[in-house]
Amino acid sequence: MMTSFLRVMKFALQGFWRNIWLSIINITILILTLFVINFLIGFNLLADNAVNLVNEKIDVNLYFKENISSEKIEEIKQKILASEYIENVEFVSSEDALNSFLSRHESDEHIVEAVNELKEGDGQVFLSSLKIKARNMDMYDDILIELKESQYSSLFEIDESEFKDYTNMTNRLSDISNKIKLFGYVVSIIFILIALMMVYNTIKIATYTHREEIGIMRLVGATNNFIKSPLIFEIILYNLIAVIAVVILFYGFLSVMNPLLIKLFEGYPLNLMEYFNSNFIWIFGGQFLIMSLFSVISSSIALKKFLKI
Amino acid sequence: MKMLIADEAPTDGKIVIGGWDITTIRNYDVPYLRRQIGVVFQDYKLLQKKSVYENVSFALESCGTQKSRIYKIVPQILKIVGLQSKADRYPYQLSGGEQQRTAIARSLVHQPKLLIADEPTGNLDSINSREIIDLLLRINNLNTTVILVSHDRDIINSLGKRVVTMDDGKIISDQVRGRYIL
Repeated sequence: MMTSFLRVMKFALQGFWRNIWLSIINITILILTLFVINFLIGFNLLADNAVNLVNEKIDVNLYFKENISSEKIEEIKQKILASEYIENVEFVSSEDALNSFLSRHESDEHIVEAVNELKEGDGQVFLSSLKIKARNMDMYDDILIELKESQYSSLFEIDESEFKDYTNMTNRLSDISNKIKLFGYVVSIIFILIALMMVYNTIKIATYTHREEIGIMRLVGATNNFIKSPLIFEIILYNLIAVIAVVILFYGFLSVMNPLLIKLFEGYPLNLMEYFNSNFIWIFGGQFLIMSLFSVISSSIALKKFLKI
Repeated sequence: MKMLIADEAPTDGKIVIGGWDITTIRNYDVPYLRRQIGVVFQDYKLLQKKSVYENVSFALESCGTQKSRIYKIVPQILKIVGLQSKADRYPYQLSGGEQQRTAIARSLVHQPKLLIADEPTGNLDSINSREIIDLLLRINNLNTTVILVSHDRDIINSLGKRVVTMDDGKIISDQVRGRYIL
């Protein structure tokens, strides 16, 4: 068993070296295919995060009239929270709103002065509010209808301007990302098809170049598996080299892109490098396994056709 | 010939080799049948990039034979065919007769019960042809059945062995000590 295995490896390596240019071309096509696939994985992650990032910023604010008590607002908050569309409701008191505003503008003396003047005048500069977040982007329309029709609607004013601005942005973002994804899928399908044809063609050429050896192997009673295995191992070797090369190339690409992306998504926990690191085995091991499995299947079909074995 | 090594299936009739009915042999069993039958062709079918030794050992390697056994068998067989001194030569460095002897050596590695020689002297001059026939007779004396397919009247008549004559795919004569009759 071990003897046969070592011999199969020996024949596979011989086939690899004796047709080194063919091997290089095949590996190059595999590398291109795998690179596009990994690029798409990264891009999908980015696109989803970009949409989520904008989604997270969307909320609807209810500004309560000055004379509404905190207890009443709390009661309304509980009512709103009971709705199935709501993810979270945050109470922002007039003091909190003021403090947050001041801390944002502490360097601007004019603003601070103006606010202080207002404060001294009638006491309340900002209104108390409820910041409402939906479970899902699509639910904001329903939430707005519910709020407008609610019995408390006279107690607050709805500010939906942020929601509208961000909705336009997310729609555009998802539209662009969907188009790029579609383009990516088309490109990867083309590359996968090329890779499939290439594996099939490799086997065809390998059988042609090895036809004398194969003929003699059949004549002297080599089993079909022994004849097939070196060719299959040769292709698995292509896959292994291609995956290793893609890991090196893709990490090179990531090390250039990642700092730029981290800057772009500042404050948002997105790190492509970490994502690929923590899913390394799944992503690259999976690609190697799927390609190899496909190689075995297509090799068996090609050999059956060309060798009648 | 192709039917004997299960390369082609018969449309009619039965093929039995040493009590083994191979008429409807399963694909899985074909390699094991071929290990019991040595085959030699007119065009030798040697691998040009392998030496005499490697051409013979390749047949054993392809069937998963242990290295130690290959080291033991190949020199013995090369001695039987008289090529022990040319083990490192490549086919293009050999005469036609020597190339055919290499092919015969390769066909003997599995110690077959049956050796089929399809026109083994077709490409050889009379001296080399005689050497090959003598070698086949020696192998026959070592208890291997040899089927010699030939159109050479002189060779057939000189052997004094059983002769089965075929014409247009049909057996027209089968003599225990026959002569060439076509």
